[in-house]
Formats: sequence, C-alpha cells, structure tokens
Amino acid sequence: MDDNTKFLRALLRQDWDTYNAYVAEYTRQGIGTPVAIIACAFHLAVQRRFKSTGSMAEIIRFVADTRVFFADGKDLPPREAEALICAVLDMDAPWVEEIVDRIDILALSKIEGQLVIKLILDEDLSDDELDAFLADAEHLLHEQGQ
Amino acid sequence: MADPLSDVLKHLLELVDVLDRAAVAAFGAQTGAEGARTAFTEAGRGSANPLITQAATDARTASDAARDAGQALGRAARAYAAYINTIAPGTAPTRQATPGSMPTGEQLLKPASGGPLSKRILARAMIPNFDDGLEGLQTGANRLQDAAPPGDVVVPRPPTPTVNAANTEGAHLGDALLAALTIAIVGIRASESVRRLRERLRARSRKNKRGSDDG
Amino acid sequence: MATIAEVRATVARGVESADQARETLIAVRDQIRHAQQLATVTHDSANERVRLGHSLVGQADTDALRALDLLRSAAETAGEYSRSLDG
Repeated sequence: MDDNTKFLRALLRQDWDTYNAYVAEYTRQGIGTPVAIIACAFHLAVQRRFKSTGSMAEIIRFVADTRVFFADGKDLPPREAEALICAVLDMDAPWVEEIVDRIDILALSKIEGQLVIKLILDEDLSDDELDAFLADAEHLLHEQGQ
Repeated sequence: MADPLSDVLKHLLELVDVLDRAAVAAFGAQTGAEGARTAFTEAGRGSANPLITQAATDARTASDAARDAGQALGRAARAYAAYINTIAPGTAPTRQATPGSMPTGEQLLKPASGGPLSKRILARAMIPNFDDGLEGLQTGANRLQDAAPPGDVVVPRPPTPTVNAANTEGAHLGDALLAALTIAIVGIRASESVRRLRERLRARSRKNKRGSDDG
Repeated sequence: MATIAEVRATVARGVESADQARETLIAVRDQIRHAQQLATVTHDSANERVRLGHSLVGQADTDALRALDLLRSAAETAGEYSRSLDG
C-alpha cells in the first residue's frame, strides 16, 4: 500500500498516532497531500452507494446528513457536494458541468474528503474490508498514471 | 465593468437552475410520501380502524400534491428559460432536467454520454496539475528574498499541525475528522507549496551567483 | 396476521418516510422563496412567459404547503393509531 493510502487509512480509522506521524513527515519533506487518493476513494465509494439507485432525492438526503455530521456543514456547500456526486455517476444536470470545470482544487478535495469519510463510516467496514476498498482506490489511482 | 443585461441574464439563469433543482427535490418528496402511504396501507391491512385509513389517504394526497409541485416548478423553469431565449437567443438550456411525465417520481437524471463527467472530475484531482495558490506565497517570499543577505534562501516553515488523540475524547467525531482532513489537505499542501518555492528560489539564487561570477 | 409489534414497526417506517418528505419539502419552499427573489429581476412582467413562470411558482408553493400539512397530519394520525393498539 502506498504511503498516501496508508495516510488516508489512518485518518479513516482514527488512528491518530499513525496519522500524526505522517503529517510530521510530510510537512518536513514538503510532499504528500492526499488529494488524489481521496478523489479515487470518493469515486469508488459513490458508485458503490448510489450506482444502482441513482436518485437525486437520495443524493440530496445523503449530503444533508453529511452536513449535519460535519460541523453543520459550514465547510460543505450542498450544491457543489451534490454536483460532485452527480458527476461521478455521470448524472447530467444543468449545474453539474460548470461546477466540475470551475471548482478549485482545495474546495474539491475538502468536499470529496468529507463525503467519502461519511460514506465509509456509514458502511461500517471491518479492517479487512476497509483495506480491500483502499486497495481498489489505489488501483484506480495507478490507472490515472499517478 | 457592469453590463446590466448580463447581470439580468445571470440572475435568470440561476433562477432556472434553482427551479430545476427544486422540481427534482419535490419529486423526491413525492417518493417519500408514497412510501409513507404504502407503509400505512400495509399497517392497516385487516383492520377497520379509521385512523390508519385516514393516514394512508392523507399520505396519498400529499404525494399527489408533491408531484404537482414538482411539475409546476419544472414548467416554471421552462417558461423562464423560454423567456431568456427571447432576450438572448441560445442562452438558456431548453433540455429538461426534470421530465414531468415520470409517474413514480424517481428521478433518474439522464446519463451523460460516454461518461466524460466522471473522467473529468477524477482528472481534476490528479496532482501535479496543481499549482494554484502558489502566487500568494510567491509574492511574500520574493519580499523576504530581497531582504535576505545574498546566497541565503529564507522561506518560513509552517508549524506542524497534529491531531491529538486526547483532544478527540468526548469531542464530536465529525469535528475531529474534519480537523484531520483539513490538516491533511490544507496544511500539508502549504508545506508542499513552501518546498517548491524554496526550490525555485534556490535555483534562482544559483543563477544569480553564476551571473555575478561571469560579470 | 401481523403482530402488534410488527404493525407498530411498519407504522414507524411510514412516519419516518413522511418526516423525510417533509424535510425535503421545507427545503423546496426555501428554494421557491429564493427563486421568487431572483425573479424580481424581471421587470418585464407584461411578458406572457414571465407571468406564467411567476404563476406556476406560486402554484408550486401552495402545493408544497398542502403536501407539508397533509404529511404532518398523516404522521400524527398514524402515530395515534399505533398508540391505540392493545398490548
């Protein structure tokens, strides 16, 4: 497993010792933002959760629940969050394309990060299941040439 | 430079957008109301109790009302879109995001052909396409560079943030996870930006030295 | 023949569904208010399409309100039924 994947795993498992060690090391070296692995994990988790249902009502409800969970959604704009989920599902709607093209990388990552954390928490995975999921996400990352 | 017409158009386009989204949500509520009706009907099976019958009837009427709301919102969106196209032809999308003819209210939006959206959103996150935000640091570092003695590269090192397991005791899990995520994305990226900046300044400093040696 | 516990559970499911639909409709009404604000930019109220749009949004608000009231009532009545069951 790549270091960045392990970093994400530490965060998802709330293994703060490991997490802090990675933060210290990455800060020292000036590398390691886990934006790309977060995006891949988000991609897979959204498809697992919504692929067969694909209803806007469910997406709206899920985003609303996630906003409640994370500090009442002060860092999670609902329209952008819904649009990113729609984009992963190739669900086209008037506002989705514009958000995909214009959203800045920081906002993108913060939104995807919160959503993927909630998706994973909802699944209540065992350690093995989480590892398997992250291995799939890493595979997707390597396919992107990263 | 304010262009009054483009301001109006911007508002109108947003209006159509808001109405389309509201329509989709209303159809979602229709589905929920329908679900309530089904449950109440099932619960009342074999019972002559008027209470549960009333509940089922009310849920059914609510479902119809939600559907009507959705259809009205969708049609309103199309009406405003048509208006936009009379004042600025071709501006407003005429394709519906909310087919009013969906009987059950399940909103499956039309998939984009060939899956370009999902590819594009994935690609957006692939570093190192990822140089935005550097400019702010660049300006600050340039000023420091000018002030520093020649040959020295002075770039401030950000403090190392940590998530303390003790802090998370009793704190809402969501708050701890959000803090950790923010550090992972914003904090480390700041260090990355600083490192890249340091490298550029070192390269420039070496180049300046060579220049003065040659001169 | 379903047990009383099963019937209560079914009612509870229905109530939850109704509550979720209510929450969604509250959000819809917020969006309608937002839309009505945005629509004030059209001073061209003589235009037939604009008038139609305004009218339809008004209709939608009434429908949403009706759905909200009925859902509340349905949930309350179903709850009453559930409590009235012996056992």
